[in-house]
Amino acid sequence: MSLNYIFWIAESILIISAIGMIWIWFLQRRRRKIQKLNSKRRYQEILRKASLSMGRIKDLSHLLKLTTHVITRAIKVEYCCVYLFHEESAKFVLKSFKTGDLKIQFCNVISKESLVIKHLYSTRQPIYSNNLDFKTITAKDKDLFVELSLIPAAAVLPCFIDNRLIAIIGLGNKNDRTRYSIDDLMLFSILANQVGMAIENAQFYDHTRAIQEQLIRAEKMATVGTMADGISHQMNNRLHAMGFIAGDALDVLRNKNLDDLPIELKSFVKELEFSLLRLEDNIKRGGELTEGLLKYTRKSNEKFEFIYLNKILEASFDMLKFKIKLDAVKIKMLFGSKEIKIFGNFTQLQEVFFNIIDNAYDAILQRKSILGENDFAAKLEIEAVEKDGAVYIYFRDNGIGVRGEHLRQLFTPFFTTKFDGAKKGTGLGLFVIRQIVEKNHLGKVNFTSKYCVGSEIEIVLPVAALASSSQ
Amino acid sequence: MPKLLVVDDEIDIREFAKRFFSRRGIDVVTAHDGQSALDAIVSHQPDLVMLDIQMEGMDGLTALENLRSIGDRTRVIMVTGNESQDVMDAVDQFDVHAYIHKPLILEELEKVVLQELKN
Repeated sequence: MSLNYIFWIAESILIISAIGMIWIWFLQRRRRKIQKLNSKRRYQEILRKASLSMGRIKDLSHLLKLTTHVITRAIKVEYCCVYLFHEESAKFVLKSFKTGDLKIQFCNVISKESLVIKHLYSTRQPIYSNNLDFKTITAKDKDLFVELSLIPAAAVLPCFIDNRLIAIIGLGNKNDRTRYSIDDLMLFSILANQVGMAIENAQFYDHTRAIQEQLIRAEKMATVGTMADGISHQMNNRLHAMGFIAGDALDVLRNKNLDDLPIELKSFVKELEFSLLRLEDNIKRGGELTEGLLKYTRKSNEKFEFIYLNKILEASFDMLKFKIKLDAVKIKMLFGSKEIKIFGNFTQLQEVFFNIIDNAYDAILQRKSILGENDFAAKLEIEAVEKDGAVYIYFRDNGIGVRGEHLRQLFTPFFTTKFDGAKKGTGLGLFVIRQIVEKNHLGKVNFTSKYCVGSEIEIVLPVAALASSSQ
Repeated sequence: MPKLLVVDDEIDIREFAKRFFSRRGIDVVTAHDGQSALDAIVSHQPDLVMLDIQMEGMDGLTALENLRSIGDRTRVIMVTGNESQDVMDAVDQFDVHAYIHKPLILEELEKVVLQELKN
């Protein structure tokens, strides 16, 4: 009986402990489920908040700051960095990062040709270094992870808009040292998409604002042009009066017989005379300046006539010297032996050549700043040929050139690839050139260019046809 | 004594031109616009007129036109300040003896004026 009793007790203990274990397992499972659910809810909350606030931000740098903040705080990773694609240099450039207490030196640019970027392009999926099974790793993967460690990043998320990778986000390890999970991956993919859209939104806003600013600038320039006409006239009158006063004072001094004067007074008079001569010289040069300005701002008469090409070029160079320094550029003129005559409007063609040479100069400056070649020698070649009643004029420079994808946008008003801060173009130059040459002179403008090599612009003016049609 | 009429709406020009040419034994009279220039030509009968184109009131081109229309052949030196081609073409029709371009160097003006007065 006692044995039975013992069995019974043992059985009960077994059953109870089994039930207990099942219960405990069940409880744990529930807890894990709740945890998982909680973390899912937390992720959903992060996403909701992030997408709400990101959609509202129009300022790019503010947006990128928020991105790194959300990722490091809400998802709890050690650090985070954002690279934006920069079209001109074809590189991803570090724009924002957050490292908490860690001291990390991020690399500033990532080439479009790097393995990381190529991998992102081919898979369109995030890359995670800590999910990797190092036993089955291939040599190519190894190189990929070396690159990752150079950024440095434990994970990289791509931000695609259509087929363009516009940004990448680099992440450190999770603060709790666990591996990135499937849920993390889901969250990151969605978040990266959100960030991508928000970035494009902000960039579009920036672009629109820049275009508006350019419009205002162009309008201002037109006003300045009109004002310059009046101001130059006034300046010229002042210079004219000064010329009279200086000349008269000089005359007074020269008419004095200096022989009887004491020696110190004599040298005093000589000094005054020298100063007045310098004054006259400056007045003369000031006059050249106002003359140049007036030539350019004057509302052109609409007269079409026979003009010499070199005269127009001369006038363009005269104006250019107020704006740029062409000394460092080797200019070669290939006109053959005889003078080339064009039928057209002087002022308009002067503006065309002015813009072309100005563009070439900017392209040369950009090449210098982007490529930084030691042995670079800036060149501009101007060639003119007469053929079948038309004049073909070629301007060839060895500036930075234009990327293939930008070529067809070149003649669109307000499109510009000049990015250099204060010197940024209005995007009107080539548009104006085309208007003048093709609409007013019934000619043709052709532009060919190779990035990092140079550009050639061909202007065809149908001289004979235009001259006979207007007579 | 040769007589020079200086026509300019700038008082500095009139005064300093007067000082300068007076020292060379030239009788200088002045006028500040086109109308007073025409009056001065009638009353003073100068040998030479130095005429600015752009002036307040009647401008130089109109004054020259009026002068020639009444058959007056007084010699005129035109002072130009980057005028447009149309204005220059118009001035050209009215028998102008010389052009002086603003801003000028007085020595150059002296040469032109003395040359014209000598003829």
